[in-house]
Amino acid sequence: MNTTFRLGRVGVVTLLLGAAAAMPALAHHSFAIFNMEQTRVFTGVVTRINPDANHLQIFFVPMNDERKGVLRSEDGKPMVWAVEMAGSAQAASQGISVNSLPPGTYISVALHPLRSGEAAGSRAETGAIYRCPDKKAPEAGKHCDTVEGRLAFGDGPLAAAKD
Amino acid sequence: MQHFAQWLQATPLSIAIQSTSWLIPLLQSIHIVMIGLVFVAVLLLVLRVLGLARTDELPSVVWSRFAPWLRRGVIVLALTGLVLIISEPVREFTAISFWLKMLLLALGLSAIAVLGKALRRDAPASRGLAVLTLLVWIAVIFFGRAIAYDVEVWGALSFKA
Amino acid sequence: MTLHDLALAVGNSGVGAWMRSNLHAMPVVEATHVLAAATVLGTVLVVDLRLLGFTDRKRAVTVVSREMLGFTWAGFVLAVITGVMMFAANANTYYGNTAFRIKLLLLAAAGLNMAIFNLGALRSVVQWDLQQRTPRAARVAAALSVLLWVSVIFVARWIGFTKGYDFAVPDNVDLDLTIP
Repeated sequence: MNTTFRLGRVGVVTLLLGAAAAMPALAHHSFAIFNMEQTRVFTGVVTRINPDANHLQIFFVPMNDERKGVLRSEDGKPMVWAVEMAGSAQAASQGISVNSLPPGTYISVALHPLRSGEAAGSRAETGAIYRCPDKKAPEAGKHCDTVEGRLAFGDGPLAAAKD
Repeated sequence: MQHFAQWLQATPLSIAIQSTSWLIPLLQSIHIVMIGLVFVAVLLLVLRVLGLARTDELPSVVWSRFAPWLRRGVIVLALTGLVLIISEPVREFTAISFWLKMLLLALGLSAIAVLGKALRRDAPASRGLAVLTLLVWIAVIFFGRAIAYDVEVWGALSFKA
Repeated sequence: MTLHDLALAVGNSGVGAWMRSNLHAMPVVEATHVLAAATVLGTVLVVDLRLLGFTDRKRAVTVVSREMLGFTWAGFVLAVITGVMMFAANANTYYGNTAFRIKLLLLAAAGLNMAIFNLGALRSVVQWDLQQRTPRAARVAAALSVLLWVSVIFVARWIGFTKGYDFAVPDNVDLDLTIP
């Protein structure tokens, strides 16, 4: 069997494609399991951080719109949400860690929800996480980014909600 | 390119792939299995050139044993890779590691084609090129995995930073 | 000490902390893991396809397998080292993950299959070393091996997509908002 192997052409095409690629102006990142077209914005109370190396997860219970209590199901159980982001090392470079956002902290975060409907989402491209000053909830309908003395973890304003 | 990626990501085809939860892990699994086939084919061809394996067989015999693995493996890799790119074009096209991988892939394919020319004719092939070929293919696998970690790997250089 | 305690101890070890705090650790270790796994799968496949009589029909089974064995083991050891490092990085998440547990079971099954083959059919290899058609037991072991190792890759890739979320709220979290 005389097998020839000519894939040099594929290589040439690849090279041309590479050369044709202009410098991407925007940084974008997408995860197929999340609905990147949708954005939800929450202000809530941190319950736990899971500092996984590939995706750090922050668990929190969203506050109601009045900011006078947290969301609970009919049987009184807190309705926990999760937001996940880059790995713990990358998150730490934005100041996000188990120590900087301890349980009980009030935060505001924008996220792209899972397509599955589970109460979790991705923080990709949604701006900073804002931390309210200790035990100081924002005014009704507002988020931590409006509270004086807030801290921002990461860059950019809180992304706007989008359906 | 950015516009093309965003357009592609918004096409019904791309959205259909993205929203089929089992499809992407399935394609990635097939991709990795094929990496196993292709990498070991490259490894054995390189070792044959270096005289470290299958010395009881003529180089042309070793070539015809592994070239089909290579060719078919690369075709399946290209197909699964293409669907994965269509599913998340923005993520791929904005990653330095993706373009570096494509460049190294072109080099790796060309290098193996050059080695193949000599192997087919039972002619001596460059040992240096053989070692380089193996290293390039290892780098292809590395940067393939690194696409998911562009900011971590490239820091401020990354377009995503 | 339960298995869960052990997993948490691995996660809280220096290796785990280093994996979580070093930017380059996860991509480099993961890439090495893929390379190692690809080597294991590819070299195992070379031997299994010979046992099944699909390829290398004119070469002795022992020659084919001896040539690959070093690479298989090197790949396997590297995969175990990098695998433990990745586990340490996300111990609690992996511990509770079904795909991860299935992967460990499949790895054990692949090892058992290899052990049975080594202690059984392979002992009479001198009699069929050069035969194109190997004994039934050898072919069954080879087919099982292909199936198991390919399955290991598949469920392994599923781990990252099924990590899931542990929504449990620790007892000491104050959820009563103090109203100013």
